[in-house]
Amino acid sequence: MATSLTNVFGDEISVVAQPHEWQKQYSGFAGAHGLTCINMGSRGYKITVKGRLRGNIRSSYDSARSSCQSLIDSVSVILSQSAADYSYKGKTYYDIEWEAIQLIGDSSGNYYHWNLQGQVYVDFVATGRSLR
Amino acid sequence: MTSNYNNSVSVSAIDLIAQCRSVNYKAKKPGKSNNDELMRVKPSFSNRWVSMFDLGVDKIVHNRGAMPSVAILYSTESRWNDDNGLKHGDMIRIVTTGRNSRIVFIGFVTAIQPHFTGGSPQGQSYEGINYVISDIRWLMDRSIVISGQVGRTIDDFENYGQENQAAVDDAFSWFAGRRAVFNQDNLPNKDNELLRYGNFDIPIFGPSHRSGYWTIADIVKYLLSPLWLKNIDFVYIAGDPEQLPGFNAEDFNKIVYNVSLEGLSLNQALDYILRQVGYSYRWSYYPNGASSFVFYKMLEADKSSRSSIEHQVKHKLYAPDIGEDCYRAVERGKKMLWSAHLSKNIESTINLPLVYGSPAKYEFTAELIPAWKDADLVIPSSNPVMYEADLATSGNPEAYDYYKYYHSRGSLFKRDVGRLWCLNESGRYTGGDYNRGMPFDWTAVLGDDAVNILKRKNFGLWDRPLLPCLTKEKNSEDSVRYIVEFSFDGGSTWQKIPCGIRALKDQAGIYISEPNLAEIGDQSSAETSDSPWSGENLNLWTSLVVDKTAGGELATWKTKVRITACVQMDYRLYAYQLPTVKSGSPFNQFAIYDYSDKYYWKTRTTASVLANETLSLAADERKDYTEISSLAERLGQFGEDQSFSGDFMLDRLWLNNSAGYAEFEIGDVITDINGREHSLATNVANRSVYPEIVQIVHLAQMNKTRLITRDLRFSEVRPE
Repeated sequence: MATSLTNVFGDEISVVAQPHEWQKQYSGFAGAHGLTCINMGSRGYKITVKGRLRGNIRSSYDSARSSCQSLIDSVSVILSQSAADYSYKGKTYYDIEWEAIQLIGDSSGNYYHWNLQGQVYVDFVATGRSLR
Repeated sequence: MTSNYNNSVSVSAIDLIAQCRSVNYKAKKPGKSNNDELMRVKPSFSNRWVSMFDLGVDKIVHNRGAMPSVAILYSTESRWNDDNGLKHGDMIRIVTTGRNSRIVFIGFVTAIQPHFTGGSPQGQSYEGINYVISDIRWLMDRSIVISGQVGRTIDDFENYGQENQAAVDDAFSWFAGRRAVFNQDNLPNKDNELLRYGNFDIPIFGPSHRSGYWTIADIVKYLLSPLWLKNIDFVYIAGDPEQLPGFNAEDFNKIVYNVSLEGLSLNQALDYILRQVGYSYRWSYYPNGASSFVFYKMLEADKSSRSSIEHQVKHKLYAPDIGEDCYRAVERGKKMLWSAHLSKNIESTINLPLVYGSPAKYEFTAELIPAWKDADLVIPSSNPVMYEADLATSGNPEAYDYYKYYHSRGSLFKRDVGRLWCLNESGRYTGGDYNRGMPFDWTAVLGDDAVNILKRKNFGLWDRPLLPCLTKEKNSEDSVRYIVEFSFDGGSTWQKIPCGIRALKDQAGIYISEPNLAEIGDQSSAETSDSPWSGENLNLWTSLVVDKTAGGELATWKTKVRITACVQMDYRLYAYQLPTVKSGSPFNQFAIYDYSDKYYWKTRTTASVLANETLSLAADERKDYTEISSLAERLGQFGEDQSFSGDFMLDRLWLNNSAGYAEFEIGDVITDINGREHSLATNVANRSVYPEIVQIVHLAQMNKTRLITRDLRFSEVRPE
């Protein structure tokens, strides 16, 4: 049963799955032109999830940031989990092994943003690889 | 499935999968069963091969001869401390996947190697388990040791000693106290009657009087028989060794002398015995899934394609020429050489082999000289001779000079007088106080062998202990040992007189240990007829006294002693081969090969009284000059060119050809590197020979095959 990506990362996400990667082994020969190639097989495909994580509304920056951090920590749990199936917009992505979640700063180098509603939010990009 | 390069420079990698049959065993309780049961714990294996998808193949290493092939597997999913069910002794086979699946390796789990490292910010951590799989030759090494002799007791015959005597089928004994030495002391010890054991006729050991000589073929059939293979009969029975691929009845029909395999593993023994005829062996896998020993003659690859009868093939590898487009060669299916390390050198070239046989030995008969000073023999003034009967009745034998000086129990016993007789071969007794004439001249014994091509004597003035005769007893291989004869008439007649005599260890001579020389009497009971008395019993003592009284030169003595024995001279059988124009080195590079226990020069000369044809006594004579010369010639031809060894890496895995046989096998040779047009030939015995593959490594993860080749010198060929 596939887990929806919105349940993991929230609603503010965009998902990109790259085409399959293939491993090729090339051999050259001394003094000669050209290469030979051995197709070693496919090596899965990369999936990228970009989005925004918003903490709860709080009355102070510290409290709002803490809430946002808690959300980041809970999302990061998927990095330690074994490969599983995920779905998004009607498409299932099989055997996804999450490799990294990275927070993205703005042009000023700020990562945590505090809006007028009292939320702290961060932008992130999560990368994974399908094992199939 | 084997990929090929036709019409493409891009191919799919070959996929290998490991399969397993689990081993099951229980230790047998010691009980009242025979020793055979106590020693053996017989495992069994599950019936089906189970694919192990969580195991990856790292590499497969095929080795030659006694060295087992190994494969390394690794677990793709296990932590280092996991138990994924694979255990020691499990049978593993590695197959290619796809429609034309082929077996490329079968063996047993012999090592389980967990490993891990914590890594660092710069380097990754990892953990995993490797498995070392060894092929059946490892099991043969560990489970079968050649020891003792398999032969028969009297109970293993029906009607023993009668005309209808016959050996009983399946009846034999293993004699642990005897050693596994074939044709020991150059004597035959293979029972003329084969052992019928199940469906096999097996040569076994027997006494020399009903035995023939073991050949290489006989020994191979003995080693690969159920007598030894029963230890691993749960996985392998050779069947009839003569039916094994490469078994060459003609080449194996060679007698080997004094070969000891005692204490060697079956593998080591097989490797050693095959090398005596320039053969080795490997373990091969066939398109039908079978696998077996394959014997092959080193450096004898002749054809370019393998079949059920062509076990060694020639290969041409391809290294593109400068500026060549490699895809053309790839399209033609060439075996593309990705890397190579070659070595041609003359360091181990031997173009002047000197082969030593045994020192020359001759059986002869010659008179001995009395090895004591004349002044030491003083005739007693009274009772110049006393017999044992006289001494027995005498109250005080010490009162008589005869007893005191010349009897072995006398208090002033002169040990050498009358007793020490020598050849004087070194001149020890020439001149001085002994004055027994010139040193013994071997010319009379050696004939033409007495002088070398420079007309100088072939022998020095060395002491030469006497050796047992070459002449054999009737109906026995034993030597007659030494024949000592006495003459009391100046050599006209000779007689053997039973008495105590021993050969000297430091020179050619004898010592008469008989206590009383007067008891060594003439067998015809003759009497002396000369001064100082006549009518006395003629014996060694009285005869010496007569000669002493006469006072003449040694040549006029009537008392003589002669011996028939064997002696070793100062030269030996040898042969050598000079470098030819084909030698790879400009220098004379020589080596001495000592074959003194294999090639002999032993002659019973006409000077030996035992050479008389009427006696009909056989002699252990050998003159192996033709054989040793042939060996020297072949050693020169084999060793005179430069040595050539190589390490070749092909650009992909080469497992099986389109017919399903292995593309490369141990024993194949590499003739050329096309493209650059580089020949790997060296000159051997007036023909071209090529580096032979002695190891093949399939690097599954790199998808490359590596070939290790060596030339003749490393192949340890014995070109006999």
